[in-house]
Amino acid sequence: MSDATIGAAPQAVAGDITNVVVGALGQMLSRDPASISTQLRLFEDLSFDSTSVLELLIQLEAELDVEFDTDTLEPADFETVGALVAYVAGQVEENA
Amino acid sequence: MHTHTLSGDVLALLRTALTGAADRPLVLLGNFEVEDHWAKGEAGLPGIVMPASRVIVNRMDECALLLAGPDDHVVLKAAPDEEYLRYLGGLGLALPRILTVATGQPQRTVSEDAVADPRLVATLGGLVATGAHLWPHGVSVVEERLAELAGLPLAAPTAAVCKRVNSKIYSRLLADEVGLPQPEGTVCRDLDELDRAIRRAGSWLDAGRPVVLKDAFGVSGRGIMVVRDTRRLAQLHALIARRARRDAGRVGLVMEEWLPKRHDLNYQLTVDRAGDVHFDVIKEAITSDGVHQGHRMPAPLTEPQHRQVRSAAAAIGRRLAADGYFGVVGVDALTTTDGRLYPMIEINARNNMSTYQERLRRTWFGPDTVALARQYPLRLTRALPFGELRALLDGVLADRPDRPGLVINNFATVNAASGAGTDFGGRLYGVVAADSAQQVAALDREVTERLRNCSATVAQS
Repeated sequence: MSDATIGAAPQAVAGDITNVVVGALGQMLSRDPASISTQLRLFEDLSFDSTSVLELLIQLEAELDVEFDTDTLEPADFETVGALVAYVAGQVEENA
Repeated sequence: MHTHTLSGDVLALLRTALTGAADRPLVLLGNFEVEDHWAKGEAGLPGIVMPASRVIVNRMDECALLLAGPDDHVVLKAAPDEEYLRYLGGLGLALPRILTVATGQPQRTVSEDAVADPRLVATLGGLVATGAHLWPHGVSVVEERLAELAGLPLAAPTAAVCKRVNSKIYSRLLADEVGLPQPEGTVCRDLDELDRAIRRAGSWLDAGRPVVLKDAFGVSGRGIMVVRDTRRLAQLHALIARRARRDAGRVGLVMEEWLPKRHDLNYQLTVDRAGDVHFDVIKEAITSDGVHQGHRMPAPLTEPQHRQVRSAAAAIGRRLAADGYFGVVGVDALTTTDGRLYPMIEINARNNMSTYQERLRRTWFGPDTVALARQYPLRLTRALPFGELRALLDGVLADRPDRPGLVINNFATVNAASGAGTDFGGRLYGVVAADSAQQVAALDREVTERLRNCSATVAQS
């Protein structure tokens, strides 16, 4: 992901990040990414637990080459797939 | 130095261990998950606590009612259900006086609520003249602050001592020092130690041995990661190293081999103010993904294994006393599928769920009782009053000591998350006791079934 892309086409970036997040979730949960909508709740619908949170952060940091500021991480950021995408997009922007 | 077995009046013995006097009144504070405060500012693994789970855990403060006597006070986030108090009285527990905080905020621990309540602080200050001591579940800077504000002495060491001895780094170094068997592994306090640990972990993974990385102050399944491949290890290494470089090179982790576990175990000891060590009890721990779910008694150990545990407890207690700790200590241990016993996986130098069951265990259960202490997860559509729950469980609740049945030991966690107008999760904590494991299993199934059929329970598809 290049800085130019982020600055030039935020919507496209959000779309890319959604794909990366959903792809990572699909891989972690052995689930078809197409079945993971942004409305799904991570803990209730996807049976996430604390270990999964850490695993996902590691995966996303590696794939997106960003460092999440986990001190500011709020439980709300993990409420739904969509909320997580927004958090990740915000972090990517901050890292840019 | 002696290792004693507690007998007789558990409250008097605990009081003596904690304060030096058997009749000293206590003010109890059930601040579960005190680890969150110990972990603040430490260089561990990132993680989050879900708000719903925190709201429920904060209401485990009510467990303190089981360990307080008639001359004690218990500080709670909210007044208990009157029917529940009558029920506890019916178990033969002489109940304490209850103080509730003015504003119980669901996301705060009872201690955090208490320090923010000047009237409560003043009431606690009024207890100084009675010689009362403050006895928290575990001591962080918050409980220390409450003690200072109220002028009450702590029935515990300082927050700094408590935090230090609760680090998993401390546990590993202690095991090395006193020669207790422990999983192969190492502590990581800086980047050099981390790099060495990662190289070692990499060679284990190459040989097909999984490894586990644990946050020095992790709790309940948070801050722990099992790694099974080198790619994931490299990613984790990068994540930890990046954070450490931003934090003056500090790391706070342990890396260990992942053992093929047969049984999780948990035992409790008490270190008294004089430094004597008392072995209390050992149970099988029931965990799910590292999160504590409950206990089984008796623990499935051979007599030599029991002796090994007691000897480890004595060594751990002596070392803790030398480092200035006194009070209750829970130790996690395990047996492996090939029959090895690891008598210390980590030290929790604070009260444990087990601690709150000690009075019941000694007064309500016989020596041959088989027991299962657990939480029943609930999904409710509305708040469930205790009276209704009691009626629902009629015939399954134990009605007098040494009789088969369920004893409820925390009710506030049932309705803690209610109020948002939607379905909510809750937990019922109880101990199912009977004469045999089969009978316990049957009672446990019956309790589960009755709860499922409760009119307040969300219908399952």
